[in-house]
Amino acid sequence: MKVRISIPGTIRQRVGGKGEFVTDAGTVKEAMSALVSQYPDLRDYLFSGEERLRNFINMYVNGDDIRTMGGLDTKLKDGDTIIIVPSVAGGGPESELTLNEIMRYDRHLIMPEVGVNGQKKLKAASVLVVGVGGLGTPAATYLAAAGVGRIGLVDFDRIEFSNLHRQVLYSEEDVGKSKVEVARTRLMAVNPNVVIETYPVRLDSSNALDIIRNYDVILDGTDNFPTRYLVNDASVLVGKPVVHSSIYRFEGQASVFMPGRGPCYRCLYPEPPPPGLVPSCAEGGVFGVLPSVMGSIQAVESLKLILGVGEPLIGRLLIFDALEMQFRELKVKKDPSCPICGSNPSIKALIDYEEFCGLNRNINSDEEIESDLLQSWLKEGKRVEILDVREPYENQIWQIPGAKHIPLSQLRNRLNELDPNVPVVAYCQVGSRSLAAVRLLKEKGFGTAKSLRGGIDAWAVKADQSVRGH
Amino acid sequence: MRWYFIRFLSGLIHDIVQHSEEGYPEEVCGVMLSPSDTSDLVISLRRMKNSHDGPRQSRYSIDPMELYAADNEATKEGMLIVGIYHSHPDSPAKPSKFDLDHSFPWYKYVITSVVEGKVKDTRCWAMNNDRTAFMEEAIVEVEIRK
Repeated sequence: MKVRISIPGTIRQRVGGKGEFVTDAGTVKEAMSALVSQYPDLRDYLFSGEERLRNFINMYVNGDDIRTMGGLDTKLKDGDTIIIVPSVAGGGPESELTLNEIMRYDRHLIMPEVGVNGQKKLKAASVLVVGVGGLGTPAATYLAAAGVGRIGLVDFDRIEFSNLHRQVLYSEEDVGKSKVEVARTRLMAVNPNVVIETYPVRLDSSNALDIIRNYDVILDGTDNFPTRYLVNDASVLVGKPVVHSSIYRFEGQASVFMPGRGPCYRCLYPEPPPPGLVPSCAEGGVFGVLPSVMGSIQAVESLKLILGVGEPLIGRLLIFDALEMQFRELKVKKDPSCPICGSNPSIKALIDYEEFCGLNRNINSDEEIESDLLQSWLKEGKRVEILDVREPYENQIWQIPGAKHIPLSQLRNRLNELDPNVPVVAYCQVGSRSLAAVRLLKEKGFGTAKSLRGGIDAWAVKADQSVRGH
Repeated sequence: MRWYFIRFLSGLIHDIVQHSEEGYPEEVCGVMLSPSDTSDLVISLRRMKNSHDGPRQSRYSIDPMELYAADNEATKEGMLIVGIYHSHPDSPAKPSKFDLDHSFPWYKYVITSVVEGKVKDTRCWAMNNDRTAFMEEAIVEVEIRK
């Protein structure tokens, strides 16, 4: 039978520029054999292995796909036309490694614990970094460098000048900019192969499940109890492991909370501490390099979970003391009566975490004073005793001029230094210790005592720029 | 020495960008046409339908018969399909493994990276002859002097 093969324009150059090829053939296979015996270049494009048509090459006989007929054995009649059309397809990235990635991750690829398969696992994996501060920036940097394919960043904050002594992803020119936006730019520069997703939002009960659900591992770099409990509960509810760390001055803690395999944060700490008892970094300070150590440990644990290698920190609380340079470890048991991950959980949906942590406590309006009101009192010459309840080393950094200094820890024993007839305004760094001081004072007969809302931080911003001039 | 580049008549890259952004968050695709005797100068584009029958956010395919028709039409007009462009919504303008497995050494591949609806990157790739990797080619836009 005489048949025609119509050659697509793009491979025409390989058949001497001809648009068609005429041959004698009883089947499609015979026609193709004739074609490739005359133009051997074409064989590799049309066939894989011996006689199998490549799956992206389509052939039609008089407009019908040969796959729906007899394939290459489809019989031909005199005058039939065979059309060869490449099936053009493509798409976004899969978790295969590109040449660039093979070079970039060479030192991973040659380790048996990672290798090509492990690196592909990293590429296919996603980690949500909650809080892009002291812990989150080193953690996210190593995750990006290691090739974790998708990294989510959650942080509502903008970069502050006082972040720079530990949050080394940011520079001085970034002050005032959104943390997640700057972090995204920097991380993309570290490794353009990874996808960085940003959430410049405050993680709360309304959005946490939707965000956390989209990631394989949750890295908790938060600096406050409400968010920490929220991340824990949401992750338990959607079954995601949390790589946890918290830091205070020279000490850091880390653990991995894996639903179904070990305890959760609530098993470790069923109740948050009373507000004001555990100071935040803003209040208590932090040794600048400490979060980098702990954030790196979090990155290590996250990568191990993805790779499925080693012993994760499940059921163990690692405690790092930078002053003593010691790592200690505590065993953490799963609490069978845990309200979220226990056998009979009472928490089945997210709750109000501010309230749970006592932060929505009703502060009586007579317990606090705004810094601008205090400022105008001072301008008016109103008689007022300003009381600094911070520790002596804090008092040395800066203080409100004219303030009396009695640390909270000594207040109970030094009440005789205060005149009950003069209104007291107590302050600390952010306004939580001073609130405790005011409650103590009121109990002891200083009925008009008030706490400076937001502490000296708020005062410095709002009222007295000269305080910053220390 | 071979210089790796592809020339586009000025304005055509803009058309690819526009098509990519219009189609976001789905992938869009089209063919690039050259005069049949000057295969490194793209003078025209044809939009193709993304006929992939699954999620089109990370896949495209061109119906073979639509491609065949475009190929025939190009031949009639003295042109040749020299390449395919497509978009990568929210991923880099680099060929994926899937692209590698489904590409042909005789086409150039232009890929746009569309992030949150805006094209951030446009790159051109050509496969080596043993079909194992892509080489990047520089995109050069040229003006035709009258």
